[in-house]
Amino acid sequence: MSESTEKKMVRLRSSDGEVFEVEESVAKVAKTLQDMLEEDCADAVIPITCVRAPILTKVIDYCKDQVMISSSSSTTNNPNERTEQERKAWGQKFMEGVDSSTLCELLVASNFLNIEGLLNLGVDKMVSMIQGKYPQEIRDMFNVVNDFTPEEEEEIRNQNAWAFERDPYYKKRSSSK
Amino acid sequence: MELACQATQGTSPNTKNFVHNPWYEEASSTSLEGLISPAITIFHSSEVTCKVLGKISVSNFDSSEDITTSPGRKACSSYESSTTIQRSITDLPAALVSEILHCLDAKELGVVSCVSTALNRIASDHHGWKEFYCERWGMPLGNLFPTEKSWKELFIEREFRTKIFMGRYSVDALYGHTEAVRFLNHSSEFRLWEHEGPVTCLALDSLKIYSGSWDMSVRIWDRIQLKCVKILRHGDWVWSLVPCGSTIATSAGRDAYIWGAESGKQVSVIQNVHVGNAYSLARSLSGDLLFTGGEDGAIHMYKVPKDDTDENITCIATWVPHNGPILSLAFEFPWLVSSSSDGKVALINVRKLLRSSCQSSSRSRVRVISKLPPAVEPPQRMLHGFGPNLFSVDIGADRIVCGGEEEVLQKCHFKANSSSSIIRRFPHPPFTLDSLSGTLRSINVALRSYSSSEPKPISCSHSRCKRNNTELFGIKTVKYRNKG
Repeated sequence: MSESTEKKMVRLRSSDGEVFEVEESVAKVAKTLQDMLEEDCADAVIPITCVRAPILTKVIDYCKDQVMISSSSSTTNNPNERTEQERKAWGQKFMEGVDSSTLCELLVASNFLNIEGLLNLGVDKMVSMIQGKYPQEIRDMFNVVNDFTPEEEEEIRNQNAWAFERDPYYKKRSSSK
Repeated sequence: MELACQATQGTSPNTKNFVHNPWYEEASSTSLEGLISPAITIFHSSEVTCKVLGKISVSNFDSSEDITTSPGRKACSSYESSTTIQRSITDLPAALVSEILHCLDAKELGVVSCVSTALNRIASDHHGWKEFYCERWGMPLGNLFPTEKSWKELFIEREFRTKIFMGRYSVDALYGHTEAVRFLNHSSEFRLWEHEGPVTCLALDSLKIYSGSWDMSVRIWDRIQLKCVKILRHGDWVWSLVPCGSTIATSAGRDAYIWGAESGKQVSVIQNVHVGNAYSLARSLSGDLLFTGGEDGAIHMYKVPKDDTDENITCIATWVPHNGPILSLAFEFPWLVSSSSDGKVALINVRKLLRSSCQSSSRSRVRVISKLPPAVEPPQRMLHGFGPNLFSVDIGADRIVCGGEEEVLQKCHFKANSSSSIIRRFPHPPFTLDSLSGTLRSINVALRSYSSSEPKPISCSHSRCKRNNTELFGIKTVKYRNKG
């Protein structure tokens, strides 16, 4: 593997047929790909068939950034090395403007490719989207079909009634609806 | 269909080269005869895929083993076309959804379970409910809690009960100190003599006894061998201590300390917590909240970071409910109870403070954003009618118990509001009260109402006696019972 001085490239193909060429180190951020590369069973193009091109672009962006961080911190004690806070801010920016559908795809992709950092980012984002919402808002946001029968819904609402009574903040929200 | 899938795998020599993918299998099984390259198959047959998706079996997301059957069913509706795929949260593997729900708090989890059947199923069985419960109130003891109940039900019941402290109450007086004391178990009485000054505070856990004294030390005793195993030296009189997991919080002079219980090393210190002595401490079960009460009449709430983070201990809120020094504090989520030399008991609900502060997401449930100087909050309720100098207070099992100068223990029994019929009241065991008496400065009450299943309800008392004309200070177990 180390015979060539130039970096080894890996080609990935998304579900809609687009091919991405990335450095091996970048691809290796994804554990699933790393395993494949190490077993040497990925000579041609690796199809990642559950991930669409726009999502894969995003995933690759993330991987590139991870490579940058690890190379700068391992080689030298770089003064530019990012602090915890900066990393958080970066993560927030990365997830900014991601809609729920994309987020779900990102989650599936990072779960499938086994990228822990991205998975955590996605989960955090998901959590912040759910927090403080009403069921109907959650349904709208995530395209969830309300498949309760009216009676079931009534019952489940009663069971969980305690979760809805709360601070003035929530009362204000419900009255404004 | 299964057959078809297998056939595909068999006929495609390249299969091992492909990242295993459910979409791929489905798609290719629909166009088997073509034997087109798999990736292209996907590309062309996406319309077909949509129709088939509805029937996809559990193996859909093979990467997660504990998937439930839910995602497939609802997925189909949103796959109208291959270009504008709208994915929803229910398409995610159950393990992932579970991970997401794990970061929510109890009420949010309750709301999520109203969204759809699939989410209801995941949210209701969620193991998080056990954590919520134990974090707030510790593991339930004994068979008072029937095991057929889910953790969610247990949690909700207990949650309801926390409200009763705003309701009506009756006061009982227990005259354990002046009446003959009944020892339930003589053999369990023991005395520990080692402190060189008056003992000011005591605490127990399942293995250890902790005692703090004016000799500027905290001693940790082994409950089985009844030997002192560790001494934590302080620079001032020790006023109060709370053991919590692997750490012990103590207050000495005007400072508060946190020690490692195993190492006996000082982990952190908060200096000048109060103007004057820091008389009292309380801590939440999970250890992330620490309350201090002092001679200046103030109560502070601190957030204690977990061991592995290097955050500082930060003060979140301050209350000044009393006109005198705060002599004792007790905490049971969400209620903080304080007693003071002005003879009043204050009840403070901390829930609101924590709710507004946990918005910034993720792992730690208690989270505080503001770095502003903490606000002074009003208490939710004051209880009057006790004698002056209430030296100690405790809360638990719908009761508040306090002891003071009168050498009488007061027990406030709160009645559940009859209108909320959902509350199921457990039959309580005969009321056992663990009481500590001794120098007037330091009466300590510990309430273990759920401990009927424990072989030895715990009680300790420290006392002061003269032996050979020298004063000795020690600990003695005493058990008090309700008079009559």
